[in-house]
Amino acid sequence: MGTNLKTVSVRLGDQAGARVSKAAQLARQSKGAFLAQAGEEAARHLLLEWAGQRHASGEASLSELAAETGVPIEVIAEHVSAQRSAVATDMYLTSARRLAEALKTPRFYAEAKRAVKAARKDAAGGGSE
Amino acid sequence: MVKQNATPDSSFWIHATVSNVIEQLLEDFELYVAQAVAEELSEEYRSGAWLHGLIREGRVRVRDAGAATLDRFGPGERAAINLAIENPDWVLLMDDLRPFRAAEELGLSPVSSPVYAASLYKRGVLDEQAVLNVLARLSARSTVSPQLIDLALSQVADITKKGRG
Repeated sequence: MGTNLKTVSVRLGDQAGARVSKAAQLARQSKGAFLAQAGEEAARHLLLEWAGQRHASGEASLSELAAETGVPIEVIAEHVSAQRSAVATDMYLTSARRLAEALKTPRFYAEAKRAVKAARKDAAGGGSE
Repeated sequence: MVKQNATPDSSFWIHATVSNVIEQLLEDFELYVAQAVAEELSEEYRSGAWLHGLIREGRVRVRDAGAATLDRFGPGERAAINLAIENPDWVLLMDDLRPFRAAEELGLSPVSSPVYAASLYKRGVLDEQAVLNVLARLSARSTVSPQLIDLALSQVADITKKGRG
């Protein structure tokens, strides 16, 4: 990564300016550093939301989204997972139940349920990535 | 026994890491990653750190295609597909659905992480509970297409019913 810094000027109203001054003081940062960090965090949040939606709709792959947003591929993957894990594992269980019924192997569904329980526990612990 | 060569894209690598099948993957294949895939996977994160460690150990090699036949998709998957086009006997390991289908249209036979997991069950490397755990983990990630997971789940159910034979 290069270390070139870009300058962005912002104009704030009196109240907004006062709030930024106070917040920067509390964060023990200069107003410029505070705004730069806030802007970076807001941009990252917005890009992750956008990337998550694009991936969910099948419009773009993780690789494309990482290239387009500059956000690491693992961070996008983690975000997608946090957003949709519950729905996805429900779908998995539905499929497993349907298969267990069709093939008359109830044990298969019981094992799938155990697997989902463990996967959800893993996901909640954030231990995967 | 001579191992078959294979090249993963970043999505497959992340999912293989989550599934804890990297060591098995190294037993099954000589792995080559495209430079763009190595660049996509940052050392700051678990999957990237694992990949770069293996590259340094010489257990995974970095290789690029001489020509760029495909110019669609993200840099990593594009580079992996181009490498597989140039080496048609290699196995392309890939999880994102659109490039996966594009690879099929190009005459390649990509393998997804859920189907790889099902194959480990078929070979008796994973037992039934273990393969269902892998598929549930992949499902919980939500970055693997439910269609690919369903396909693997059907294979596992079928093998369970009929036996590994």
